[in-house]
Amino acid sequence: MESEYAIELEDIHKSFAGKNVLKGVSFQIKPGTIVGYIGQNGAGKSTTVKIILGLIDQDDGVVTVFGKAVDRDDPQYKRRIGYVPEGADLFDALTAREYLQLVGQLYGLTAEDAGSKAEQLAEIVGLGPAFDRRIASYSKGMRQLVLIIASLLHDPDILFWDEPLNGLDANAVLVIEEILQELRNRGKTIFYSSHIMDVVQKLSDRIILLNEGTVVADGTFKQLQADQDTSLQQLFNEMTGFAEHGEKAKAFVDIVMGGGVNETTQTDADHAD
Amino acid sequence: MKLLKPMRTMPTEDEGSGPVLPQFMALLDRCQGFISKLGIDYAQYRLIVQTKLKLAVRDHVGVGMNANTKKEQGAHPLRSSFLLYLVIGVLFCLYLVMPMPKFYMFSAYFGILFVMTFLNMLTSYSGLMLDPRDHALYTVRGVSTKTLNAARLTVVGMYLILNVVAIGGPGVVPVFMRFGLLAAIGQVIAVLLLGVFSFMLALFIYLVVLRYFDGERLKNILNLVQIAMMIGIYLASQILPHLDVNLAGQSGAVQAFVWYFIFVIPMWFAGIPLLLLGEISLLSIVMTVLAVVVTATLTVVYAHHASEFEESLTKLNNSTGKRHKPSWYFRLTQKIFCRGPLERTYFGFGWAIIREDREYKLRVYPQLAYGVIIPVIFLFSFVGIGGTVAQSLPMMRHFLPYMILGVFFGMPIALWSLGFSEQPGAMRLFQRVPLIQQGLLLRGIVKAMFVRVCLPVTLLLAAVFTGLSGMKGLVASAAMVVLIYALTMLFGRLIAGVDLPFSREFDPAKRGGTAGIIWIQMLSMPLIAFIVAVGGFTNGFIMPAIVLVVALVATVIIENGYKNGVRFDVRRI
Repeated sequence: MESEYAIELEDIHKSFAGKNVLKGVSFQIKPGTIVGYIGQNGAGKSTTVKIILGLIDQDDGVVTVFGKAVDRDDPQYKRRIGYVPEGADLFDALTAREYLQLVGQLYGLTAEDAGSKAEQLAEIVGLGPAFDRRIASYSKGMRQLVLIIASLLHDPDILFWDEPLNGLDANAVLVIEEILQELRNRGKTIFYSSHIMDVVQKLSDRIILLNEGTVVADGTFKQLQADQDTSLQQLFNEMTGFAEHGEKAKAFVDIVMGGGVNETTQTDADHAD
Repeated sequence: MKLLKPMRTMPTEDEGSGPVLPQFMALLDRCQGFISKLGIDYAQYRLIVQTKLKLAVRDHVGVGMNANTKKEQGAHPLRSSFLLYLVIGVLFCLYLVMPMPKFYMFSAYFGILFVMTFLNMLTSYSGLMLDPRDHALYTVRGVSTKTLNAARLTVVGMYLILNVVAIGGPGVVPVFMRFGLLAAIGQVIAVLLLGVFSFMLALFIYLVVLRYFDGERLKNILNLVQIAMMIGIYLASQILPHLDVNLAGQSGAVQAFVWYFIFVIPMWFAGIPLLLLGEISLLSIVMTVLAVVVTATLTVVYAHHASEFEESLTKLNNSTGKRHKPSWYFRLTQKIFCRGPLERTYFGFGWAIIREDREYKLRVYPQLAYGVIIPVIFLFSFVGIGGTVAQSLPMMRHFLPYMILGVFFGMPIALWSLGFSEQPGAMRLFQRVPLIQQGLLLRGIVKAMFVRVCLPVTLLLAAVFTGLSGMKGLVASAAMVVLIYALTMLFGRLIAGVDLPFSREFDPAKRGGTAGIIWIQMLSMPLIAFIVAVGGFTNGFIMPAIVLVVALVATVIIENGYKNGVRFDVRRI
């Protein structure tokens, strides 16, 4: 019998080369939810996703998807998941049609169904005119659209999207945002990772904030706000203990514009000029 | 302007930028005035040249650049490349001591020099000339196309000059010793002019192709030319020694002009040392004029269109978007060779990747050409014994169908090369999708390789040899084709089944394969010779029929073996 949760992580630990990357991460996600999974670079977001996908094994803890332990060799398990990795390589020598037909067939569709479905999806998101051109000639946004379509061809139950809006123009961003909400409304579970806080704030039913391998916040945006009139960006900064952005920006521009020497860091070598 | 924090060390201009030939940069500095007068921003030009030289070293441009794996203090990888070319140049001197008419001797020498230089332009140096990133990197930062073009030409020119000096330089010695100082001067001029000609011809080809076609077409054309030249070299190295051309008694003869000489490019440059030697004839004058005028014309044309060339480079990553409809050959062979929709998918995938992988074709096709060359050599041997082709045919035809097996010589490298691709990262797709029966993936790809790369050649040979040898030839040819297929499937499991296909980055140093691959190739030759000998001498239906049946049964067993025991760790990609 399937669990009421689409994804369950219980006390997940993972370390690499002696460094603890995940320190007891736990959460449960119900179907029909968009979860914004955010954190600084190196917080452990990608590691979490790779564990759920079965690409790496956790050191400790349990991961279940629809009530079953993750089995990376189970094709049925992979058929329920659609993944958009950040900055993935595509086969540049193939056209979008060829690539998406291949992906569709790998997920069990026939070549005709995969090609037809992919073409229709490509038309909607504006990739139609380039559909039979080699991917090598695509812009960043076009490649991203190919990856997005590839993750959806087989109608998965769970989506893992890592920075899916990278390179997309404003219109495409709006369309993809609407697509995510429509998928959620139809019962799909979306695990969404991004550094663009505005989008995460706008789309997510629930936000999980990871900091140094630990979940430091988990709830709706309103819950995280806790009656303060702050943005998700500000909450993120507070919770990750980062408040020096103003000083760093000033120092950066000072160097660019050639002024503002910091006296405490001057040495005799500087004075020798 | 002062930094907020001092840098730990202040690199000198050349130390900080790595080993970028300080002597060469000093030489450029001496020419600063002249370069600036050409409308080139010298400071920008110098910086771009330095950067490109550094990148060329890191990208292993040039033969032998990978030989210098030890880091020596102050050593530059170009040195090992130069030394290797020098050794090659010394070997080429053999052409200049051959007892034959001077014109043919010089023509042969410049022929091999032209092949080496032009091949280098199209292979090793094309990356330097055709880098589409330059436009986005430099021109948006205020570098003019003139400055950028000049910097690029300087870097490629430097590599080319080193190449030409190393290969062509040693040849001056035997020419001087045999024919005197003037001839040696003529030799030097001809060698340098040939280098310039090769350079300009390559640029002209790039210009024309990019003007009328897109980048994909240019890359395909370059790839075809590279493959054709390499096959031509192999062919010439095997066939020429068998040619019975008695020129030894004619070394003092003066060659008369023949009209079709004007179509043989290396002969143009043979005219220059002849002219300076004092052989003032129609031949030497016409050839010299051709060498000088054509080179000058190409140079002027390129100079006139240099800015257009820069703009055209942005087309390098364009493609016209023609839809590849599956050919009848693909659809037919997919149906015949594949069992089930999944294997057909993998077959189609392997087919598409091999179709587009130019590096794969460059590695594999010349080796496969040996499979065609071996029967040709064999043919020449029989012709030598029997007199003419018609007189030798009765003797040859028993053996010819079995010669098809020679194509297998190229299979180990073709199978091994399936492990590599230009985009190994793209194979991470197989981390995301269900990979059912990993052995099926390998089997589909190996079959695609066999059908696409090997089968057309073997079927063509089979048709020709059947025509020459009749029914016995048909049975023998069929047996050999099936035997090659069985061996390919067997070795596919052993060689290509180690890592996930297409998942490794190509290492230019290992273009010829590993030691194991070379051993397999070497050991296959006596096996091929044995089968040819037994088949030819027995000359019946029984032996090929037995081979056919055994090969068919073996194929079925081997193919089934793919289902078990093939396991790729896709997480390692």
